[in-house]
Order: sequence, then structure tokens, then C-alpha cells
Amino acid sequence: MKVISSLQFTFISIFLLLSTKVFTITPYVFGYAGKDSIWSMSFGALIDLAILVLVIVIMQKNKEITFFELLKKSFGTIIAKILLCFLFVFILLKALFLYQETHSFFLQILFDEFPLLLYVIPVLFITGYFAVKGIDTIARSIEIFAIFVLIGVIICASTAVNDANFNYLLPFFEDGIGPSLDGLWAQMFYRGNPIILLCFMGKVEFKKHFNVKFILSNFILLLMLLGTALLFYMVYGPSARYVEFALADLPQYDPFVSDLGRFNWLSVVVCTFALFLTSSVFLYCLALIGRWILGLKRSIIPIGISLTMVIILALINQFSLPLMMERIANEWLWINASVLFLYVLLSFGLLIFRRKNE
Amino acid sequence: MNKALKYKIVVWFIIGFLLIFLPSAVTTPSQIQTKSIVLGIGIDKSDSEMLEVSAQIIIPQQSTNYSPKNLIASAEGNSLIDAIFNIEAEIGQRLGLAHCYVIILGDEICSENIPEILDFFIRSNIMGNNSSLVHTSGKAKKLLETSAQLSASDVNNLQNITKYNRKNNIAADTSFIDLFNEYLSPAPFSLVASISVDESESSSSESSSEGSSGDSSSSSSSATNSPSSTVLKNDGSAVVFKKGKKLLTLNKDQVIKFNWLETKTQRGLLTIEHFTNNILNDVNITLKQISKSINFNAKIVNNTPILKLNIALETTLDVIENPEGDLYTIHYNYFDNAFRNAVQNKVKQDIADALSISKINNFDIMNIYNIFNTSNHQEWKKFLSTLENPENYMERVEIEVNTSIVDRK
Repeated sequence: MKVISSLQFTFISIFLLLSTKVFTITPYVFGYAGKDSIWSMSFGALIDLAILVLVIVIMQKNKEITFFELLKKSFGTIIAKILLCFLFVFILLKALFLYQETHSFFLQILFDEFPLLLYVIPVLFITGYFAVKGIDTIARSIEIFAIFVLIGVIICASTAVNDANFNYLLPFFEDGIGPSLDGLWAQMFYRGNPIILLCFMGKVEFKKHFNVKFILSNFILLLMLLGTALLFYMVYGPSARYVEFALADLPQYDPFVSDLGRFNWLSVVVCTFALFLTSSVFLYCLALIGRWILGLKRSIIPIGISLTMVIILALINQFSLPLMMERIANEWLWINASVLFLYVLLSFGLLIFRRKNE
Repeated sequence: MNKALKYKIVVWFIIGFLLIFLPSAVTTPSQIQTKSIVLGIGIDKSDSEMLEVSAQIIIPQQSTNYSPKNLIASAEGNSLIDAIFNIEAEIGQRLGLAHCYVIILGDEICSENIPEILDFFIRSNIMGNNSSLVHTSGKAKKLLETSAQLSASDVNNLQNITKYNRKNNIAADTSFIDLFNEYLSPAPFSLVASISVDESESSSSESSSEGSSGDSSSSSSSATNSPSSTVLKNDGSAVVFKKGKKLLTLNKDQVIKFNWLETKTQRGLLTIEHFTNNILNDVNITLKQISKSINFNAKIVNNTPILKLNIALETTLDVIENPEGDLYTIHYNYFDNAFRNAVQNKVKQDIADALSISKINNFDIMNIYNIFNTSNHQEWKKFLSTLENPENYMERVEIEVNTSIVDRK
């Protein structure tokens, strides 16, 4: 049953945190919080960290059973399946957004014209194939590529250090805390990825002092992401609202870098490895939840259902990132924030329930 | 058995994928046939009061040298995108702006709101954010045409002129995203380099004037195709934009005075004229500025904003000459307290002049608003509230300068 090591689990968690945080979220938050965006991002990172701690505590307390078994034991089969349906929607929307973000990223960075089918078919096939192969394959791949992805993020961000101007962020809280809270609420669709880690319950081989190492490494990653966001806001200033992909645009802006040759290929590497593998994780989790809900033993059918839903939802949004961002702001933000809130309550409930049983 | 079947599914998928996409990949025309490579964009106001956009386009050709063939295409439109569509219709290709390194603004268009005109570029992400912004006193199209005549290997082509001197001239390093940043800031002032087309035949004298003017940031850079043809002239002058519209033009001597307050401008020449000490008598001493660091200390005392500047210079001797232009071949020990005082006075005078120009014309390209707003936010707000017209804050600003200089032999 234990199919992934604690190191692989840590890297999966890091990829989940990284996936939706490096490209669109940073300029998106700026549209709400302005120059207080870095505070919004910090509050958001704290929320992620708190959820991460909550999830890891639940996982440690229930090492031998899966999340579905835990829910069944606690609430009964029907309620457990209903709760899983919510989680399915939560992950599906995130997966869809990730696919769309990757498509738009390639469209902007690599190609001026990029036939949609040429993206959709191979990408869905590759991520679907990874998901079919199972979490051990995905985890091993993530373990191999993680270090390159992290180095890529650092290099992409650090090339623009020369152009950073801290004054763009000052004075702090000029209009009070309101804009920061607006920015915090706006990013709630992007936050809460650690909840997805509950799907790996019962599959991780925990080692000694794992909790501390796990939380510390995720904390360092969140700091790194905050550093990237900080640099982005300091480089772009008030123009940050016009940028679509933060990490991809940072190496473009620096004249020094553009004189020598752009570092965009690094952001392409980050995108290809991180986003594709994270999409595979999402798809695997969707398949797992689908299997739990439908009572199936194989993943093919739930993966097929998930991919079909992804395509339908993408078609509804005309495969357009701006349209999808608008839908996120108006509808999906509420859906995901509600599921997140529900699952945080649920997690506390599970902990209290267990304590009472003990 | 199952494994073999899965493997076969993958193989069949790859075969199917190739069968579907390979024909389209082979038959689709190459992007170079459908998309042009634009090096520069010029924006003018046409006679019919519309927007006239010109594009310097590379025509790919087999060649043994590095001189691409250029084409200038232009079209009118009600907006930027409208004009671009018209150019595309004219040349039969889409405009590829990823390599566009310069946006040139004709003088007439500068009376319009430039960020509003350029809005399409910044939102569409089809152009790099660091494309330089350049003003020209005539038509932008003319400047592009002159630039297109120059070979890519010519050191004085437009690309080099717009990119050179980044550390010397504050106006030379304004990208179009900088214009937006400044436009959106509380003090919406920008300084944009002005490059003109000089149709005189004195190209050689222009290019040889560098260095003799006494300051590298004010030197002329020129480029010629032939001795009698037009030249590109970057004499260090610049245009001040207020809220996206042209406010006034500063000449090179005025621009270099503002360089003292800019942290990015590191290099330059500093000339102390008519210097006399125990050894030297009435000589002009020119120093090369190697580096410069500035510390700001902003305070509001008795409702007067006082900006204290500590400027640390690292210099090396360039030349000592008497007013007649005779060079001193032996380097006398010129670096004494009298010389330090002379440098301090020179810097003080330049900054006083810069402040005076700013006060007279009521602009703030020294970013004084932001310095006070970020460091003394509450006091600054209070100070502004006491003014009859808060936009006239420059009138009350005072600057105290302390200069230290280190000579590197």
C-alpha cells in the first residue's frame, strides 16, 4: 500500500504549491491589492501553510487508512461520497485552470500561432497516461525533475534583481488593510492546494522527523514564491497589472538579460515539468476520487470522465485564459473557497472526532 | 499480456498522432512566410489627424554579410491596432513585434496621451516590455527610414544609439513600460530621449564631437550612410512627459544636470573649469566618473521638504588643459582640498540648476514626490494638504548636497 516515499511526497506537495503560484496569480492579485499585493500574497501563503499543517497532522494520525476509508468510518458511505464529490469539483477546476494556463503560456512564449488540437491531444494524453501509470510513476518523475524546476524558478526570478525598486511597494497599507484583504479573497481559488494531499493518505511511507522536514521544506518554498512575487512587484511597479505571466516576463524585462539572450527557455522548462506533472497529479487524484465515488477498481473510466469534463469546460470558456480568469473571479472563486472552507472544517472535525474516539 | 496491450495502445496512439498531424505540419507554410520581423515602430499624427504607424521590417534574404534588407511600411488608422491591421493588409503578412527594440514617437503625436495610444502593446503581450521609447523632433517615419539605410554592423545604428549610454544618460533608458509606470505613479513625469534626423552634410564633425564637449552624456552620436546623406543625431536632449503628454524639451546641458540625482547613471565626464590652486593656474580639469552612489535622506522641517543627498563619486583623471586648449602632459597634484571644494560646488550648482528648471516648469522627473511619499508618508500628506495647489509641491522643495570624491589613479 505504501507506494511513495516521504521525499517524493514532499516534492509532490511542493509541486502542488508551485503550480498555480508562479504565473498568473501574481499579476492577478495586483489588480485587487495594488502595491499591497505582497501582503495579500503573504497572507495567502500563511493560509496554505496552515492547511498544510492541518493535512499532515490528519495524515500522521491515520497512517494506515485511505482518506475515503476515514470519511466512511467517520460519516458513513453516502456522506463520504458527497464530500468527495465536492473535492472532485475543487480539483477539476484547478486542473482545468492549469491546462489553460499552460496553453496560454506556450501561446505567448513559444508560438505566435498554436493550433489548439496540437496542444490538447498530446497534453491530455501525456497527463492521462501518467495518471494511469499510477502515483509511483508520477512521484518518481517529480523527484527527478524537482531540483531543476526549483533552480529554474530561482534563475528566472533573480535575473531581474537589478531592476527591482523597493519604493514601488511603499508606503505599506496606504489605504488601510482593505486592498490586502481584497487581494487575499481574490486568490482563494489558487490557494488550498494542500487539501489535495489528503488523497495520498495511507500511501506515504513516513520517516522519523518527517513532519518537521516536510513543513520546513514547504515553508522554504512558500518563501521562495513570495520572494519571486516581491521581485515581480518591485520590477514592474504599477504596470504589474498588465502582465499575464509573472515568471515568464521577469527575465524578459531586464535589459541585461535581453542583451545577452533571454532566459525564457528556463521558464519553459519550469512550465513543462512542473505544470505537466502537477496536472498529472491532479488527474490521478481525480481518477482516485472517481474510483471511490463510483466504486471502480481501475482508473481508466474516471480519467476518461475527468478529461471529458476538462474539454467541455474548456470549450465553454473558448480555451481563453482571460475568459477563464473572469469566470474564476465571478463563479469558481466562490465554489473553491466554499469547498476549501468545508474541508478545513471537516479536517478539524476529523481530528476532534478521533480524539473523542480515543 | 496487459502490459503488452498497454504498450500497443501507446504505439498506436503515436502512429495515429503522426498520421493526423504530420501532413499538416509538412504542408503548413513556414512562419517566416506569414509573419514579418519588425525592428522598430514609429508613431506619427497624419495630415488627416489620424494615427500613422510605420514599421521597420526585415526582409529575410540569402546573404553573406549581416546587413538585412529593410522595408518601411506605414498605414493610417483610428487606433494603433487599426493602423497595424492596415499595415498587415498592405504587406500581406502579420507583424511580428517580439524583436521590436524601439518605439519612436513623432513630435506631433506627443501632444496626445501616449500611454492611451500604446495601451494595445502593453495589454497584448505581443511586444517585449523593454522596448526603448524614443522621441524625435520630426516625423518618426523619417527616423525609421534613416535607420533602415544603416547597416546592422554600423556601430551608430539606431539600435545601438537607443541602447548605448544606458549608464550615462537618464533619458536614454526609458522603456515603454517605464512610461506606464511613471504615468500610473502619483508623480506622472517621464524623461524620454530625443533623437533627430540631421540632414546637414557635416556628419563627420558630428561624430567627432564626442569627448570634446566635456561630458560624454552630452556627446553627439551620429551615423552616416554616405557623407552627404542624413544622419541620426543623439545629442543628449530629452523630452519631459507629464501625464503621458509632452511638456517640454530639455537640451543636453539641462539633461546632464538631472543625472546627478539618478542612481542608474554611473559613468560620465566631470569638468571643472578655470581651476586654480598652489600649482595649477586657470586650467580646465576633466575627470572620468567611474561610479556614483547616492544616499537619500528626506525630511520635512517646518513644513519644508528637505532632501539631503550624499553623493559619493569615484573618478579618474582624464585631461588637464589650459583655456587655450593646450594639454598638460605632466599630471600635477591637482587633487587637494581646493579641488574637492570645486567638485562639490560644481555638483551643487548642477543640482541647483536642475531644481530650478523643475520649479520653473513644475515637473518632477527627480521623483521627489515618491521619495517623500515613501519615506515620510504621513508628514508628506500633511505638507501637501497645506498647499493651495498640491501639484505645485516642487516650489517648496529644497535640496542639500554633500559630495565626496575618491580619485583612482
